[in-house]
Amino acid sequence: MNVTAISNFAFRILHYNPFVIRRFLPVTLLLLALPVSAVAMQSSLWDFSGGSMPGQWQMKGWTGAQPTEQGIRINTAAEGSMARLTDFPHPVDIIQIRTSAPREVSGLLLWHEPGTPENNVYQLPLAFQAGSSTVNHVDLTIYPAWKRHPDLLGFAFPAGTDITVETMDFYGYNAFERMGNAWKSFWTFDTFNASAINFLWGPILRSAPVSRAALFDAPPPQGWSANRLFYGVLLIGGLLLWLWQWRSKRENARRRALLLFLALAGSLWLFYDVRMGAEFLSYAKWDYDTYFTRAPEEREFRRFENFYRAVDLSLPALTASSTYGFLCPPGFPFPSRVRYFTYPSIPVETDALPRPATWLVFRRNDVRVDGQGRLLEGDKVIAEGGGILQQFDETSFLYGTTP
Amino acid sequence: MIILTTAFLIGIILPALNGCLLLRFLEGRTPVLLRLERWTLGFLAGLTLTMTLTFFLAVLADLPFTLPGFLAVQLGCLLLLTALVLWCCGKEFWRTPAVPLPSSPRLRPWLLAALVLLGIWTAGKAATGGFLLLTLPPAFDDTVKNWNFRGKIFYEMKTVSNTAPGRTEDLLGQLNAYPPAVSLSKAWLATLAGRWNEGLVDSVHLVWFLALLVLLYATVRRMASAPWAFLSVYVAVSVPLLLVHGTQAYAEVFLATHIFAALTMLLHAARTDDPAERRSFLRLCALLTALLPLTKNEGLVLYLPLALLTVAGTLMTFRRLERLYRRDLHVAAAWFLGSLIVTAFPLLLYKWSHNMTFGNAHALSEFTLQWQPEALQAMAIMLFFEGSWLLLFPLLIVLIVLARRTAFFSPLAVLTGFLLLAFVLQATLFSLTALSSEALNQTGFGRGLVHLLPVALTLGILLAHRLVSQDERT
Repeated sequence: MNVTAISNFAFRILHYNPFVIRRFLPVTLLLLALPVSAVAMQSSLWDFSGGSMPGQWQMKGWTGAQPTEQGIRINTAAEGSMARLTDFPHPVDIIQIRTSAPREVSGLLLWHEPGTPENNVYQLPLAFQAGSSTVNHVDLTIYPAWKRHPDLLGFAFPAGTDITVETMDFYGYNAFERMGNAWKSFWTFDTFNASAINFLWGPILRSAPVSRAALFDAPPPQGWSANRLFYGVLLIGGLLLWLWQWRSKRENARRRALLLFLALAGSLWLFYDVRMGAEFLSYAKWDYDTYFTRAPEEREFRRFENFYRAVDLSLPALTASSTYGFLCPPGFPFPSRVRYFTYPSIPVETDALPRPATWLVFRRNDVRVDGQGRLLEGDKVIAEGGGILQQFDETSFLYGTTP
Repeated sequence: MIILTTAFLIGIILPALNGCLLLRFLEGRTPVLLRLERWTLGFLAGLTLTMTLTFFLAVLADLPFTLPGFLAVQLGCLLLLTALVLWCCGKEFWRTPAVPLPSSPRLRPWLLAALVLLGIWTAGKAATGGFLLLTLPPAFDDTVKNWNFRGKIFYEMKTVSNTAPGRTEDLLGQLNAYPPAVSLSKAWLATLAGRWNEGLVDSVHLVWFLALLVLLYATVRRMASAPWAFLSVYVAVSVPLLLVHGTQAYAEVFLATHIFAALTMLLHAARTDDPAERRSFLRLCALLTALLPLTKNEGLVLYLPLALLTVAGTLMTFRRLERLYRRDLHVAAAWFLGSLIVTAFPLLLYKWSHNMTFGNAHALSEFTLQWQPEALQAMAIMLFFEGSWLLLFPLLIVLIVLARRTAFFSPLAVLTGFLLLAFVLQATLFSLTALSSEALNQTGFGRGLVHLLPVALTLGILLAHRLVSQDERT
């Protein structure tokens, strides 16, 4: 289709706009309104339980792999793999793997794409949790290498692995479901975390539902930035308008096209603003639910959980003298906060002399108070002659010595 | 609550009054500012200047950060500036300028309804953010490690201290190298109230944000109708990262407002055909530009040179177009130099004498040139594929291309030139120096963009207005 043909098409679409609206819009709306549930998600199951092996598998390397009642147990002293040719009647977007293992296992999901060299096998690292019949959801839609129709699929495990693979479920979504999932992920909001002062991820598009709930849990979020969609709309709209004004014989076509383009950009801006504004308001909603509406002793504050509450309740004791002790896990920004709130009283090192009379212990499961009223960090005595003044949770408390 | 409200009002109004008088003095017999602009700029300049002055009086004359100490500076300035303005302006003091504003058309009902809805949405978001700021404890790092903490040290110790118990290593390093205005403003408010209250000391950030929105409105209003000016406020509040920064106790919006204030005066100087008005605007621009070093370290090492370069370019263009007499050029240069000597020189002297750093995240001495290819990709992702600015930057590029004549060959070139210079400089810094980590971690670069947002937004709105209205005179 050459430029003239495209411009003719655009010209007609825009020129005969009322016709388009009357004839085609209802049909389009009808199509869009088709209940998504009418075209159900498709799935397949590979069941290894009852000693069965679904399909023809090829194994190599492992020293021990045998079908059991629960599934195929791989207990191997050498690394190896197993794979089989696939026969899925539908595309695959998600794999749900049920396994049992006495301890966490690292493995690889292997697959081969049709039409690629035989030895070109893709590998995706997976971590299998310890436990009985745990389920691992693998959302493959975020990997560009995954084309939804592999002709070979399998696993690889390293030496020392002990795992039982029970079942593998494969799910495929149709276009409507994928669009529906993308729409829902567009409206999935991040939380007001530490990075929000530097940047906001914005809407991310994911076509599968399983990982949507955890979209922003581990940065960076996997998926497509919705900005691509906006750019696409702007580009296509701009192109159509440019072609239209180029073909049009109207006197003010260029200006009309320009205004329409600005109106399009303005509409997208407004839509995007509603999305991000709603996310901003969701931050407030979260604070409302977890902070404002709770009693002081039950308050939690964003990623700090009950830390601010603990500091708040400890303030009178911590600020009663010029120094105090503070113990918390390393790597989390608690010290700067407790120092700020209690200033001019300041926290000192654990071995500082004279020993402070008050200690705030936060989320330290290696710190305890023994029967003799001593505060112990492991086996090291930090303070003695006191007791717990207030307990905030199992591993957080305020300790004070008697003067 | 009454004490806190009273402290807030006194704490804002007194410096604002000082600023207003200073600006009025600079306007001389040709007032050019709208009343709204004068109060807004007066607050901005007044607070920054009087806090810096208080700090230097503490350094030089052991002035304590107590209520009498703070009030001595505020009331002393008030007396001095009142006398100065009365002497300089006489009966002209109360005269408000007849600024010709573009007419605002009568809006169609649906358009009016849409603007009202946008107004409610905008006010709702800003009010929500403001409520969170005033009622929640500080959550972000720089607030508790720097701005508020240093303010609390000022408040508790009542003097300038380069050390603090338990925090010596930090205070001797980067923390004290920051200009004192933001932290001392908090100490000033707390001193007025007689206690350190998180909501009160953070409230000043909301006023800075509000000042930015008012300035944005006034700047656009001078060149477009009221709905366009309102639209600019809506657009500003709709930019997510600007809203976050406007409602958090960080200093990026504080710096952004100062940059914007200085540039708008230059823009107005470029627009006016009246030589006396131009001289007035240039004097105001000189003062506001000279405030940049008193804001943050970036204000001194990054934005002051860029602003001066933009001013120099604009003045040379004036001269080439014979819109500025040679004598006026020299006088303007003298105002800029004089203002900088008064503001930046003491700060530089203080820093040198205390061996303090001049960079922001890294000291300038740490900068070595090395190509950092990943930084450019990180910057591109941040500009175009995240939600921090909605579609601002791609749309701004489109608008600059579509209205290139206005963007580059009209007074708006002041904004375009500054913005492009700032982008090039930031991109160079982040891709060629150790600052690349700030781009890769999406920290410094994002905040650097927040500094430029008011300029970018104004430029975008005015270019869109130009395209829509086909008005040749922007």
